[in-house]
Amino acid sequence: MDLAPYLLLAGLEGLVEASVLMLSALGLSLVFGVMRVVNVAHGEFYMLGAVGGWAIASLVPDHPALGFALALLIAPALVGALAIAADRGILRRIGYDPEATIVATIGLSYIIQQVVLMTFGPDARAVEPPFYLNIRFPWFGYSGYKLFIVAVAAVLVGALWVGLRRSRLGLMMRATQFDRETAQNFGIPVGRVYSGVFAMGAMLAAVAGVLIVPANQAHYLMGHDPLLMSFVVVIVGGLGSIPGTIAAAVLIGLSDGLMSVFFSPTLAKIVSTLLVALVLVFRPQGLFGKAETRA
Amino acid sequence: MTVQDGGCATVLSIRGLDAFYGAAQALRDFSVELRGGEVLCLLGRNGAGKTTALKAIMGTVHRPHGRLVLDGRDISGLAPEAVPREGIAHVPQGRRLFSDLTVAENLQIGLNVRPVGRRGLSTALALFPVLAERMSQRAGTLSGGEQTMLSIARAMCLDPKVILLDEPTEGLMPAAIARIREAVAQLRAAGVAVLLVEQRVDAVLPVADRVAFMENGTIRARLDIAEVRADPSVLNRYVGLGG
Ligand SMILES: Nc1ncnc2c1ncn2[C@@H]1O[C@H](COP(=O)(O)OP(=O)(O)OP(=O)(O)O)[C@@H](O)[C@H]1O
Ligand SMILES: [Mg+2]
Repeated sequence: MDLAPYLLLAGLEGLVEASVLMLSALGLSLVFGVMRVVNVAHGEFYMLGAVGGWAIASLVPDHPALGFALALLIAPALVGALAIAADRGILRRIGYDPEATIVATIGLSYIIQQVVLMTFGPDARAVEPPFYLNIRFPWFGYSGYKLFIVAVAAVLVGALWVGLRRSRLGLMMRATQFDRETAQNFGIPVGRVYSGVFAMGAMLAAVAGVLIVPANQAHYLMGHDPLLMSFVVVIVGGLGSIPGTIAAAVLIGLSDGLMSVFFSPTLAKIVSTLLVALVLVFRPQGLFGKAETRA
Repeated sequence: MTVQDGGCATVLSIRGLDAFYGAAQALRDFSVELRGGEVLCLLGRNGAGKTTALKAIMGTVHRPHGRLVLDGRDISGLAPEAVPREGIAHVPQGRRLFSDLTVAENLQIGLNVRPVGRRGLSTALALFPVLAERMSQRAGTLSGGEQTMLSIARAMCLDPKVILLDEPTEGLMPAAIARIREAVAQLRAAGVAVLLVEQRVDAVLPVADRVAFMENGTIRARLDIAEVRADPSVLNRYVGLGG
């Protein structure tokens, strides 16, 4: 048997998975890095992106490309607004206490799931891809749309990276992340930075959700897996480390793709989970994270 | 604006400030007048409440009572992030640099506070030329003395009306202490109102105009510097020998 086509296919599938995972994991990592809280409702923001994307795209059924473009712009914006409301209404009120935030966001995730279930029902919803393009490899054809996902994710992550390093807002975020009180002493409105970071994290998950619906489907329970896998990526990559998150997403996405193609998706999840356990035991700061330097 | 005896106008007037950590009161009825071109030294033992007093001015600790008037304008109700934008700069105890960020980024954070241009930065770099050579280095990798210089330079980037310095000479060698003193003198000459917290009396005597002693979260005594210079032993009543 010739292995090359299988490897290529698995690599492509892994790359697509890595891209979506990278967006969603970066959102989780950004929120943890700056705000020091774990958002358990992160997967629900992903799901809302997907379901919202479907709802918006189905408003213009005759123009899949237009519908998708609208979905990609509007759904994340709505999710971002919801995240700001959750930050102001819940997280700020409990003072960003780490334990209380976990409990509160567990509650939030159930509320979001149930509201979506009551509004859109339990069915999986499909969205038409914005375009059909079959990329011909010697052995098989591959969806051009899936490669489009990879490109969008790469552009977004690049923009996020440059924004964090070069923009005034990025500097504010990094200063707040490092020392909240001193940031305040230098005029940085940390309350608004927190809201903004929480919204950005949620929007990254929502974009991932919109991108994935044309390839998968939208469903009110679909947030579970991305949440778990984002945790895996963030822990392996090092909490709050953006380069680590990117590297870990690619590593885990590719290994997941390879194992899913050659063995089974279940085995792939088992291996990822084992990797987390090993990392937590032997390198708790993550494979790419640096040891805690703050005293 | 009120003109006081020294010919300096009161820039920041602080009246009856109380501050709390949870239920514990750490500052009681704290009142001082800071005048432009004058250095007020705040002395006191560990735990006297000096740092808390500065945090209360900056608004980063809960301070339910008291009035802060800057240039005739009541700023007591401002959010903490709005206080520095009014021109009050803080050099916190232990420097509190953004150590993961570069020297340039730390200074940029200071420059971003107010739309005042880069005059404060040029003054700071003229005072501490070593910082100009370290711009792209991470702040956490600077030497202790350089870190203190950066912390002061970052505050000077606000081109402040008032600067609050919390034990800037802590843990420094005499040569570095002299540089810090020079910076304080220069700020004073530029008309800035300086509130300088120290534990060691000898460290502040050369630059102070007035001295206030804190104990148990409040000011116990105020002394004129001429009095102290004439007879340093008056200090022994308030602090142990040599501070
Ligand atoms: N974050 C905090 N939470 C609770 N209590 C605090 C906190 N910070 C300071 N305190 C208490 O408030 C009192 C005053 O502390 P503060 O730091 O203002 O003293 P200080 O005069 O600056 O001392 P030092 O010279 O050691 O810096 C102390 O009793 C201290 O234990
Ligand atoms: Mg102190």
